[in-house]
Amino acid sequence: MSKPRFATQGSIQTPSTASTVQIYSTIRKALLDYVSSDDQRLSQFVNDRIYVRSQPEPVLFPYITLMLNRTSLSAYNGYRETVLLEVQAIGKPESQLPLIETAMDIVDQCLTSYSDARSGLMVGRSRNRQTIPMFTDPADSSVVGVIATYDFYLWPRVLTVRAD
Amino acid sequence: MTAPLTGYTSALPTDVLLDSGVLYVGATVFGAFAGGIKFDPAVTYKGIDFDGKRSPVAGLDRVTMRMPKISGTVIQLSTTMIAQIEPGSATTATGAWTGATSYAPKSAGQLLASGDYLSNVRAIWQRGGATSSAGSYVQVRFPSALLTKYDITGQDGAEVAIAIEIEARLDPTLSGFSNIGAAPFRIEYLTTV
Repeated sequence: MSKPRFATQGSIQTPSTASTVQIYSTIRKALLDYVSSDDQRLSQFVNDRIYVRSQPEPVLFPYITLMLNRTSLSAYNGYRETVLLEVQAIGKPESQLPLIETAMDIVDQCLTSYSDARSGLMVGRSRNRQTIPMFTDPADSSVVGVIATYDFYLWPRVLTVRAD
Repeated sequence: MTAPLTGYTSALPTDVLLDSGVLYVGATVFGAFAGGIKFDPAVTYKGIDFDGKRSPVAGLDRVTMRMPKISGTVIQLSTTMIAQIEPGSATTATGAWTGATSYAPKSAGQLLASGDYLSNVRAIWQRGGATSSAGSYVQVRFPSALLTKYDITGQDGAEVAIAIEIEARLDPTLSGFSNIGAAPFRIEYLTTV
């Protein structure tokens, strides 16, 4: 049985922070639409293979997964969130490492300069990135990956709509 | 259930100001800053006193002094910036001791020339979004200014910190500033930087 995939095409409006699913969609679309400073797009590296949480089975390499870890504190009555967005770029075989490193350079450019006030407010400025070591047997040692965690802050509609 | 009382309004995503701000001199970026840029209008109000006054009275206040100031910590020092942090300094090509070029600060006692002042110093912050009445940026602009204070502090394992303070100066020769009481700065909304 295949793992759950991303929302179906056309079912989600973006940009929007009106729900968690739409926040994922907004970020995914921003990544796919972004044109880097040297005129490259993420689709040149992963096509549209950007998934939430995990990849479908079977999967084509390379691909990217997104996972949000959201925190809201009492300081803003819970309306403001700080968000850790974990992005994993996974390739196979090992020769795809330069490919996913370059893809993540585009992700870096996009998400560290991201701000959008069209639905709520979503701002990204910083990140932590590392190239993970290859797995060892019995895991597949030909799988390569880059993991980056991006810091965002949000005033998402899903929460702030209570104040309107 | 009652929603919590909050200062949030739906205008916040658009009106919020982002990031540390950027300092321009005219159309040119002054440099990269560590930390944010600060603007202090440093305005002094004085109320008219009279016998029997028990509290400040509305309608009797007036501004007696403004000392608007922009401050921050820049982390680079170009040759262009030398003339900005040392207004009126002279440049000479000299021998091996000082290297290829020497910058001599202006002698004490001499009045600064009009060209020694900075024109259109602008501290610019990005807004969350743009509206028809307010663009994507807000700036505090000093049409005429003087960098009055700086120090250079080296730091272990980090960029050198150059703390600067820029004060506005009223230039009566500029349009809109001929009144001696005019504020020597403006706050402006921009669609482009």
